Amino acid sequence: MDESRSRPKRPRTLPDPWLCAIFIAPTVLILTLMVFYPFVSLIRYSSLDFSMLRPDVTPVSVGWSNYIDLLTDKDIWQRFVFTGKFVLATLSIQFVVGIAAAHGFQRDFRGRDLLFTLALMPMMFCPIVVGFLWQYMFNSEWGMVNWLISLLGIAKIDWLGKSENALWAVAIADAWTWTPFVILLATAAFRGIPTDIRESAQVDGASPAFTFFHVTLPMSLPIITIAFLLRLIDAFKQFDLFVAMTGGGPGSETETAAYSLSKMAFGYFHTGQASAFAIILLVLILGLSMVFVRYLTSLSNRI
Amino acid sequence: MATVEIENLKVLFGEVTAVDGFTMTLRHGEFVVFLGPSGCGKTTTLRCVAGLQSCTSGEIRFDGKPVTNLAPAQRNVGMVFQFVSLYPHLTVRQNIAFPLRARGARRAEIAKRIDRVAEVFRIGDILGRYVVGLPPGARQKVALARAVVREPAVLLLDEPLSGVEEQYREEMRWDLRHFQRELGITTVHVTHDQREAMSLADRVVLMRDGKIIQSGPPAALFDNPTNRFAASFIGSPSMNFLNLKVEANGLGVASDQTLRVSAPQEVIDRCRAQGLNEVMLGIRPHLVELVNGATVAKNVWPAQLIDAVLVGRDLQAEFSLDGQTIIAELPFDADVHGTTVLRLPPERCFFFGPDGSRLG
Amino acid sequence: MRRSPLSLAALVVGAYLVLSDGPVIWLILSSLKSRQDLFTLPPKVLFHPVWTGYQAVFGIGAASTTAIAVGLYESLVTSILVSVLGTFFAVALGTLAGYATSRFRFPGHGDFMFFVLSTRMIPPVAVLVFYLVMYSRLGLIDTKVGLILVTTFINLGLATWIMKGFFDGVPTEVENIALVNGYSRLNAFWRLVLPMVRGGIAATAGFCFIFAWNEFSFASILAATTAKPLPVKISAAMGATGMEWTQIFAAGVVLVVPVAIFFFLIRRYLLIGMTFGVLGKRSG
Repeated sequence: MDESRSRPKRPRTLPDPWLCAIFIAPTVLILTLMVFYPFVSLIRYSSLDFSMLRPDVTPVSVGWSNYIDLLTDKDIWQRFVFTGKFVLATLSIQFVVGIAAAHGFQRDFRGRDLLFTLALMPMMFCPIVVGFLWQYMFNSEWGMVNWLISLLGIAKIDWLGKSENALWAVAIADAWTWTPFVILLATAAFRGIPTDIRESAQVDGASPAFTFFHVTLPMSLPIITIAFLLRLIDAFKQFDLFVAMTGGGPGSETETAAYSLSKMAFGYFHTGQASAFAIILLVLILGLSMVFVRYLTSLSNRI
Repeated sequence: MATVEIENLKVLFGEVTAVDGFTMTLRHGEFVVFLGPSGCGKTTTLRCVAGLQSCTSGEIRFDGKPVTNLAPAQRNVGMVFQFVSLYPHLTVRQNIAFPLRARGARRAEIAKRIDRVAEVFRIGDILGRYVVGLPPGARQKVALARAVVREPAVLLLDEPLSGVEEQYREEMRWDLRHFQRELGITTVHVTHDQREAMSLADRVVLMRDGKIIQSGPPAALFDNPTNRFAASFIGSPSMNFLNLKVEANGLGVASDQTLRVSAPQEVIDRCRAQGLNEVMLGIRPHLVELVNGATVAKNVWPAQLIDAVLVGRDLQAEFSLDGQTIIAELPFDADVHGTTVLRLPPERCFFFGPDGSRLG
Repeated sequence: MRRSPLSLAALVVGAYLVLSDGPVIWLILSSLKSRQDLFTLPPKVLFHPVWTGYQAVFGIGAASTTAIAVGLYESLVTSILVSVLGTFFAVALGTLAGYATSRFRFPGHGDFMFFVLSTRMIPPVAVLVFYLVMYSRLGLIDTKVGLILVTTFINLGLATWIMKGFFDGVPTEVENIALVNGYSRLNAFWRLVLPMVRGGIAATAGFCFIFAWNEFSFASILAATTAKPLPVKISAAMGATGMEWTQIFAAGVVLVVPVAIFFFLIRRYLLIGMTFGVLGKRSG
C-alpha cells in the first residue's frame, strides 16, 4: 500500500540539537552559577593559611601544606574510616530492608495503597527532629530500644556512649529515615517490568523467588543503582544526625568527615584548611561515584 | 507432546462471558489454530490452557490428567507471547537456559539441550548475543527455542506474528510450520489473521463471542462453511454476498424481477419450509466466471464494471450487479469492459438464511 | 496482578511497617508527654497528655513567647512558597535535562551527568560561607527569590538523575512511531513520553518537596531574618527559650504535616503511574 501520500508533512519545528540545547540550558546555568564561585574559592583558599575570622590579615600562601597536613593526620584518617564504616552500615540496612519491603509491596493486597503511603512517612521528617527522636529512643536508661530488648532478655546497651554502638545507632536512624527512598524507587522499577515477562517466567516454571532474583532484580538494576548512588552521596554528607545524637562524642570518636569539616570551618575557623578538607572529601566521593556511574553506563548499553 | 482435552470451558469476567462452553480435543502433534476477531475468546482460552487465566468452570486435561487447578509452572507448557518477551538482561543462550535453570537442571544437561534446539532453529551463531539487537525473525526463533527446550506437553503461541512487520511475516510463517513439523509438538496458535490460520493449521477452530463457530481442516472451512460468519471470515478476498428475494416461482435478485437465480431445489424447499422472504447468495471471487458470447448456462447476468486492479497474477474486478457489489478474481488477461457478462455457477454458490445459517 | 496468598509478603510488609511507623507513633505520643512522663521506665503508653509542646510551637497560651508568635504565619507562607516553587523548578528543569540526556546522547553527555551528580556531593558546610558572600553581592540575602534559587539548586541534580533513569526506561520506539506519523519531537515528548513517566515525576516531586521543606543548613544562614522558612523559625524561637524535648517533638510533628499532605495528594501518581512504556502490557 502506498503510504507516502497519506503521511502529513512534518510540521516546522526546532531541529533536535536546538531542542536539546534549550532543554539543557537552564539546568546548566543554575548549576554552574551555584557551583562555580564556591568551587573556585575553595580551591583558592585551600592553598592559603587563612581564617574567615580575621579577614584583614593577609593570607599566607602555603602551597600544598594544608593538604599534606590533613592527609598525614592520623585523626583525620580515623574520621574517614569511621565515615566509611558508617556509610557501609547504613547503606546495607537501607537496601536489604528496602528491596525486601518493595518486593513485599508488589503483590496486590487489601489496603496496599494506604499502607504504602504510611511506609513512606519516616522520610518526611526534619532530620534534626529525627536525630532527637532517636537520641531519645536510644537513651540507655529510658529509651524505647533498650526497653524492648530488655523484654527479650538482653542487657542494656550503651548506645550513644560507645563509638562502636553509636555507629550502628546513627546508622539505624539514618536507614530508618531513608529506606522509604529506596522502597519508592525499587517499587517503581519493579512495576516497570512488563507483564509478559512475568508470565513468561511463570510458564517457564520459575518459582516466585527464582523470578525475583533472576528477572525482577536484574531488570531493576539501573534504577536501583541510581538510588544507591544517591544514597551513597548523602550518607557521606551525614551530619545532622550525629549533631543531634552524639555531638561527635565521646571525644571526637563519632565525628564523620563532614562533621569534622564543619568544626574546622565554623568551630575553629581554619578556613584554608577547611577548604582543603572539603576538596579531599569531594574527590573521595567523586571517585567512588565514578565507579558506579561506569557500571550504570555499561548496564544501560545492554538493556 | 500430549493430547489436550478442553471440556466445556467457561470464563466469565464479571458480567461478560469471554468463553462460553468451549470443548475440543487436540491430538498428539496437531497444529491447531484458534481463529477469530478480537474479543472472540481465543486468547482467553489459550491462557486457560497455559494456566495464566483461571476458568470459571470446565476442565482441561493433558494426556488424560486434569491440570485445571495447576499453576503454569506445574503444567509443563511452552509459550510464546505476542510481543516476544525475551529476558532483555540475558543473552540468547541464557534465555533458552532459563526454563531449565528454573527447574534446577544440571549444567551438562542444559548445554546438551541448548545445542539441540540451536541446531533445530539454526541459531547457533547468535547464542552469545544479547536479545536487544536481534531482528524479529531471530527473536521469534529464540522465543520458540526457549519455549520448547523443556520438551513441553503443549506449545502455545499467542499471536506471535501480529507485532511483526509484513515483510518478515511470510518467512516466519514458513519457519513456524517447518519447526512444528520437525519437533512434532502439539501446538495451539492464536491469531486473527485468517491467511495465517489457513497456511499453518492442521485444524482451524473459528471462534466468535466465546463460542466455536466451526472447527476442521482449513479446506473444510474454505469449501464448506457452516454459516455466513465462517463464510465471510475465511478467504481473501472475502466472499461475495448477494441479497435475494424468495418468490412464488423461485429466487430472484432483489429488485429486478427479470434476473432469476438458479438454485438447487432443496434450497428453495428449505426457504419455503422456513417461510423466508429473503436469502443470501454467497460466492467466492475466484469462482465468478466471465462469459463471452451467447450461452444457455444458468445464472448469467450483465454487470457494470466499477474498477479493476491487478494484484499479483490476478485481475481483481469490482462489478455492480443490480446495485450490489461483486468482486471477481479473474486471470490477468481477462477482458473486462463497461458492461460485462458474469456467470455465478449455481453449484458453487452458497445460500444463507437471514440468521446466517446455511441453507445449501 | 493476581492476588497471591498473603504469607511471606504480608510478613515482610507488616514487619517493615511496625519498624518504620512505630517510631512515628512514639514521636507523636512523646510530643504530648510532660517532662516527667518522657523519662520513665518502663516507657509510658498511657499518660495524661500535655499540650505545652504545641503551644510553644504555635505561640499560644502560657508559652506565647513573642519570638515565635511574631512571624509564624509569614514563615509558613515562605516555606510553602519556596518549597512548592523550588520543587516545581527543580522537577521541571530536571525533567527536561533528563530527557535531553537520555534521548539525544550529545557528545559529553556522560560528563554532563557526572557534573550534575557532583553538585549534590557538596556538603553545605563547605560552601555556606561562599554563598553568603555571593548572595550579599547579588542582593539575595533574606529574599524569597534567593531561597527558591538555593532550593532549586539543591534538588536539580536529584531530579535530573532520577528522571533520566525513568526516561531511559521508555523505549525509543514510542517516539519513533510518533515521528513517523508526523508528530514533532516536542509533541511526542509532551503527549506521549511525559505521561508515561508520571510516576517518576511524582516520586521526584515528592523527594524534592521533602528536601525543600526540611531545608535548614542553607536557609539558616542565607535567610535568617525576614524570610525565614519554618524549620529555621521554629529552631530559632526554641533556641531563645531553651529546647524542651516535648517542644522538639511537637515541632517535628507540626513540620511533617504539610509534607504528609503533599504525599497524600500525589499518592495516585506514585502508585499507578509508574510504568515504563506501551509495548506489551504492564504490571499493575
